[in-house]
Amino acid sequence: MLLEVPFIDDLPLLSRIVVEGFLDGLHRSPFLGYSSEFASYRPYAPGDNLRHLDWKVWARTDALYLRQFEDDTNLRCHVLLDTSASMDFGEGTANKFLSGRILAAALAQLMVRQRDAPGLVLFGPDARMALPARASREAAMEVLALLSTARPGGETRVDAGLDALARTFVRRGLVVLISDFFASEPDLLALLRRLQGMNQEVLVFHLLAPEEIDFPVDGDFIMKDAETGEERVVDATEFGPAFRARIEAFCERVRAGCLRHEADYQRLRTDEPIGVALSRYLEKRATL
Amino acid sequence: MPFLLSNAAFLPALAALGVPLLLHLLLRQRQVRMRFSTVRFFDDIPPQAKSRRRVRNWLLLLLRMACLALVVLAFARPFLPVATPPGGVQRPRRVVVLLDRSLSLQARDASGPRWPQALDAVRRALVELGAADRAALVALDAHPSVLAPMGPPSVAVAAVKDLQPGHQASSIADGLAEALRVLGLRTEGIDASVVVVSDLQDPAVADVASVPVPPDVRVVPVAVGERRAPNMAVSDLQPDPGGDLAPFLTVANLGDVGSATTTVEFRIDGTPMWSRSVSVPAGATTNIDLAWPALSAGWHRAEARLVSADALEADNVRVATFRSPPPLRVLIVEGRPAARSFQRQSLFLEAALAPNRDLTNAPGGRFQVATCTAAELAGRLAVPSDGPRAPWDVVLAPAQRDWPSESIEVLERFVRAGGGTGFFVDASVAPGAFNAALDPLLPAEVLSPESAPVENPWRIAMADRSSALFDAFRTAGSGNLAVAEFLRRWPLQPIPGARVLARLDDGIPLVAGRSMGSGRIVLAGFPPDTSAGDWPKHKTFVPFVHGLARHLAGRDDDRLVLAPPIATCGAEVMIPVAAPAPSSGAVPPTNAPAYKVLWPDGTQSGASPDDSGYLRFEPRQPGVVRIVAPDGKDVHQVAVNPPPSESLLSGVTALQLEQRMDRRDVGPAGAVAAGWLGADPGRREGWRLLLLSALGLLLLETVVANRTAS
Repeated sequence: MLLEVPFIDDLPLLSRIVVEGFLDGLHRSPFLGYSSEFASYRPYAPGDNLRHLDWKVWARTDALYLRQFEDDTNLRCHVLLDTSASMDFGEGTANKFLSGRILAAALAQLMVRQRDAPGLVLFGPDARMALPARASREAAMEVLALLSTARPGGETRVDAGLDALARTFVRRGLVVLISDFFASEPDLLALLRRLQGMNQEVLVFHLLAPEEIDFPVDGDFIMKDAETGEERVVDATEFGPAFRARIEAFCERVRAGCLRHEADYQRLRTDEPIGVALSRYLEKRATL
Repeated sequence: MPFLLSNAAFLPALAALGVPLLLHLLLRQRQVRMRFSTVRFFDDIPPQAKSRRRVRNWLLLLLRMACLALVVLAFARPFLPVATPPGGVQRPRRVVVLLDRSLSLQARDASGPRWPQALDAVRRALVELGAADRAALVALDAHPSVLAPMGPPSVAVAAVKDLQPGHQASSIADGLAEALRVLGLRTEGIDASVVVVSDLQDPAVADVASVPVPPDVRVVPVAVGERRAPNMAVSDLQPDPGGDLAPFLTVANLGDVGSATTTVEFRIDGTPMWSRSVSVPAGATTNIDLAWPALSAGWHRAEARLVSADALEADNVRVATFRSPPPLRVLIVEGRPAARSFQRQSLFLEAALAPNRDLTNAPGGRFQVATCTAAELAGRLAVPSDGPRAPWDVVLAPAQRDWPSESIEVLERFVRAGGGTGFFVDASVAPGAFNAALDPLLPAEVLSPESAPVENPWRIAMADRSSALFDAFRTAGSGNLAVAEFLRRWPLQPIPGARVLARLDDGIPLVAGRSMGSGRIVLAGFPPDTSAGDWPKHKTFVPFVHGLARHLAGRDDDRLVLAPPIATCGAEVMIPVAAPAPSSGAVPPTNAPAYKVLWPDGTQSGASPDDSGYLRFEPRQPGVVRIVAPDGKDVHQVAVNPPPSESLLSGVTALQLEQRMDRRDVGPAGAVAAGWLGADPGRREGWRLLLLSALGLLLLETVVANRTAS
């Protein structure tokens, strides 16, 4: 299961439980301490924030020096979460949208602990910069608050809106893309290409519900598309094997597209633990 | 020709076909609307994938409805009537006429003799057949025999021309089995029938249910004669019944009303012995004891005959054969031949064995007695040139003081060749010299004589009743051996291998015996007169002497006559005539018959014994069958009589015969034919095929349903 705790409708709490459980499991992670290391001293200049003066040095040497940290090297991490109606699929805790929100929240928590600057972009029928990347403790809480109020709906559109947002990622950073990618595949590839061009490292989490992978149903069904409302009459008994083959081929195409544009691809079943995703993030972060 | 229905009332049940249709519609899987993340993967579904399931569902529905329809139709019992050929021409007929020619067909009823009626019935059954029909004639007595195979009826008519009834019993069941075999198992498309011409005697139809008769074979019983006919018969004649039974004959009245009186004549070797009138109630029998006159040795024929005429004459005569054994030849060695008769040592022995010797010219008794001296013994025991052994069976020596050595040698050879010798002792015998002279023969050593006080004589306390010597005293009341008193005795000391046959009350052996070669020797420690005791005066002495002679001769059977089993017409007879052939290494017997069989009608044939030493034959006529050895002597005579069951002239009706028969299918071919299309020749039933088809559809439905579910 993506969530290993009882269902609680409190996204901050959930994400913190997930992150702390994950970090406890890491045991003295070598990734801790980035961005909080002391860098050097520099002489005080008028206008500097007195908060950074090293008073002990001034007492010993009677000279004013400022403590300089690596704050200005923090990574800007943008989490792009798909909020289309197709994400609202999956039974209970295996719901893709819920899993996506928890994953995004957990990443935000982890990023803040890493002194990274988390940002959030929600995209569905349209794309909006929900929260710019910002390196502060409050940033994670803002992300969490925004995720708590997010609601799924509409089609997945990976088009000009999202492309325009991507153009604003001028500094080198990390983009975590969480989606089921039931969108236009050429548009998706164009987005990846754009992010690659904007000097962004891309980490793709392909969220799929168990029902979408296993297709464990028998009988005749009228399948209604969650986004478009289109309907298809399906003999699930007959078509099950073909469906599984088709979804597998789709995943393979997405993975191939990601690789082609140097994006890391990770398929996630919503009924499996989220730790693999967090690990994947930390691995990626270590290379940056 | 259309199918017809036996139970058309079941047809409305076809409305039940709507049940699976209704269930199909009610339980058909409805399409469930389901929200799914995207339907992009459901585009371009192959149309056959969607329709295949629908086709299978409808196919299953059709199979189930067809299965139900077939079951309903099967219950309606459809049949196809078998059309009669145009023009009213009947199907070809195959008729087997079964003619009973058992002994009872010789009977004459009040309406006339039965046999001509039977022949008329056969002819009528054959004459009415057409040119296209076929008929066979099977005669039935002890065994069924096909006189005319299946062919034109005229052949069967010709075969019956000179036919006469036999003397055997018959079984209608055997005849039916043979008739069905002649008809063959395949009787479809033909009119098969068996015409049974018989008097339908009760015994003949008793086991008719043992032969199953197919329902499509018509059995037409034609009963001849009357159902109840009075008849008397000599039903049994036993010259040697065995045990304590005396010879007897039995007269039976086989009628069912009143009582009948008849005269019985009894003859031996054709000579009337007696004639008497007997009255026998209906359904009863009476036995008449027989007494044998003095008969010469050899085979004899006894015949009992009813003089009065009745319905069946053949059973009024009954014959039996028996053999009177030759007299046992006893030679007594007299030590005092010059003495007067009452002073001779052989007086009591001779009186016991041949009391009427030289007093009558009647045929000799059971013993042929002669006397001689010890000196003459060698000449009397000389083996004749034309015989294998001496003309005497037993030598008795009451008490002989001097034995010529030549006589002892002859006596020893005589015993070794199978003869028997009995020795007695008396006061004239010196034990030492006696023992020494007869040493090679005696079974015991004779000791010095002893005397008992008059008031306390010795008595016989033990006698070996298992030997023929004392066999006469085996049964209770046959005489008390302990009555005899002995005042003087010559104790015996048996030699190894000898057997003590009697002891006195103090345990001293009184009689001892032994075997030598093929013969036997007995030594008695007392004289056969009254000089040492009073046994010769008691009635037990005569049976003792008779037993002694038979024991010494090796003839343990004391019967006056020896009768072989009586044979019945039509039954196999087994006569032991020779020792069984050796099982291996034997010289193959020649094909030439070793024996001649003389039949009652004067004809003769050759016969050879089988490997077990038996002559086997099946007499067909009553009378006496003689078995003559190659040397011309009668080795056996077999009395052949009609089967007693044929004397019972009452029978069943044609309806009763039909009721007793076992009407069911026989044979695999008939069973299949009757199984699929029914046994009724007028219709071909289809319900079995319909049920089979329904079963097949059910199996097909199972296969299709399983494929759908997979």
